[in-house]
Amino acid sequence: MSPAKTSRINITYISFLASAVVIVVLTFLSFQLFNKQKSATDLVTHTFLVKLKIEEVVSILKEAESGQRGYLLTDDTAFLQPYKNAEDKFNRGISELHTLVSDNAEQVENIDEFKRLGDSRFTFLKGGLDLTGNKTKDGLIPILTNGRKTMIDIRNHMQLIADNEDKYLNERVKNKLQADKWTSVYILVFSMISFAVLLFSFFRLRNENIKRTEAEINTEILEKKITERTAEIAAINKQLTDQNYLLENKNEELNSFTFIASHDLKEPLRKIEMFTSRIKQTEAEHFSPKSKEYFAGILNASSRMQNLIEAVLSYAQTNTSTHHFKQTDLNETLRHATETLNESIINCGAVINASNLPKLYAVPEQVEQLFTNLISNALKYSKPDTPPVITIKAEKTYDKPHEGHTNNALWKIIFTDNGIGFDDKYKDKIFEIFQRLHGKTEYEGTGVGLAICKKIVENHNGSISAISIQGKGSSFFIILPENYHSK
Amino acid sequence: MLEQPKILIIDDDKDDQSFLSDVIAELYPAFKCNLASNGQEALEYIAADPPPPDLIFLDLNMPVLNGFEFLRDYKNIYDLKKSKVIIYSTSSNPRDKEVTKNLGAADYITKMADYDKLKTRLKQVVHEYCQ
Repeated sequence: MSPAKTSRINITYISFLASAVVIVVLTFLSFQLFNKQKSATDLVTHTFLVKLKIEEVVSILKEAESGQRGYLLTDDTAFLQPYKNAEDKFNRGISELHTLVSDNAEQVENIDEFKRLGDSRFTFLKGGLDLTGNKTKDGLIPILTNGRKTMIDIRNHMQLIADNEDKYLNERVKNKLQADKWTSVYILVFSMISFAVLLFSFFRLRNENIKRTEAEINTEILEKKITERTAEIAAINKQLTDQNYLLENKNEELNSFTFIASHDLKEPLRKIEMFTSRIKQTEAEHFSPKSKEYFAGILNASSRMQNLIEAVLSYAQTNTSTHHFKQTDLNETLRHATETLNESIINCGAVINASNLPKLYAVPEQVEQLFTNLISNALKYSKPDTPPVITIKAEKTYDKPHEGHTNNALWKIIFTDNGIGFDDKYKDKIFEIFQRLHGKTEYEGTGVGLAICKKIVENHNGSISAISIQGKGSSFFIILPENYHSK
Repeated sequence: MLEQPKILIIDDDKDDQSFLSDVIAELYPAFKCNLASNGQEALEYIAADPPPPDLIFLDLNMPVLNGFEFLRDYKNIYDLKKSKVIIYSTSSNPRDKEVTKNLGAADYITKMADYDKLKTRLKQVVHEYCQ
């Protein structure tokens, strides 16, 4: 993975983690804020409850008082109804108030004081009713006066408790609000951070997207270029294949042209020879000496032409397409070649020394012709006074692997003679068709033999070369692969 | 040997016709020698003048009906044991020799450049097939 890609992925992870942390913190803070606000609300509710309860308790006392007054004025016991349950209600109310303010020692004391005042009020109320048997204005007045005084004390105390509650409420709410202010700041800060991370991620993703799109476009361009180049190569390949096909066709055409041309040339020549042989048979006795000389010239020329045409035909037929490669024992091939040349060999008293030759994958007829041509050449260009000695050797050698060789074992076959040799500067020219180094009358020949040798060796993916010392002899080197398979 | 063998030379080349008929006339003056310039003409002649020839010299490359086609048609009508066909062609292709042999040709003479050699070869053929 490239470093750029790694850093991109790291940044993505970091952005994600930051977002997650910010969200968790925000959630926590919001929860805390909600809790605080809820407890503040609870406090307010608590204060109102306390105040409400005190007022309720005070109103119990008031109801008891007004019931007592009604009874005192009318002697109707129905007015005493609120008074009868008042003390119980009062005690229950005080007990509830105790529970409500249990967390506040000062208020507990205040409630106790409130209860004491309430109890004393009830004592005055009872006192007032006990006097009912002997109701005197004088007896009632101090009781009512003291009761009113106590009631005023109760109201004042109630106010004190309510004020105390309000004071606590204010303090607590103030504290809460102080804490809430910081929470809000935190929430704001984290929200900003969250927004920043969001923005950062957005721009990063946008850039990434742009980069990716650019990369995609680049890839597309590259792919397009590759496709174009592939098409170009395919077109060139096709052109090459076509050209190769054309070339092969032309080659074949040329071969068949050479074959047909030489074949058709043979026909009129055969007739010339036939007619001249007829004339020679029937009319020779009427010829003047000059005519006989000319006639011999015609026969000689047509015979030479016949040989040339045969040679060209043979050259044209030297291609692999009509021949089959097979395992060929070169000793056998050499034996066939010497049999073909037996008459000439005996006539010139030639000696052929051949060492053991290898087996090759080759076209037997062609290798036989190669050997025949080389030996025939050695016999033809021998020194007039020296019997030809031809030495044939084979050496195994190896080549670097290259196309066309499945096995790069090669055989070097060397034909050495003691003939007239040739100037070394002609060592390449001798393999060209119709090239002759000697006059026709001096050494007969068509100038095709070595060209055929070269073509045969090339058909086998081999090579042929020669070295020579004039007046001493020549050596021909043939290199053939051990295992060449033509296509 | 047959007293007066009936010979037919089928060849579109007048020169080759005359080389062969000259040799026959020189060697065997009693032989009845006829000429045709393609397979079609030969079939018409043979049908018009029975019995069929004892020996037919047949060129291969001819217009209208070539030597191969003539041989294919001829062997369906006539008995090749009684009426022998000798190929007389410029082709020295071994494949042509094989194909014509399979079609029933008795022998194969490659057209040659020397009159004496032709004479020798013809003597051989007559000796072998005109018994």
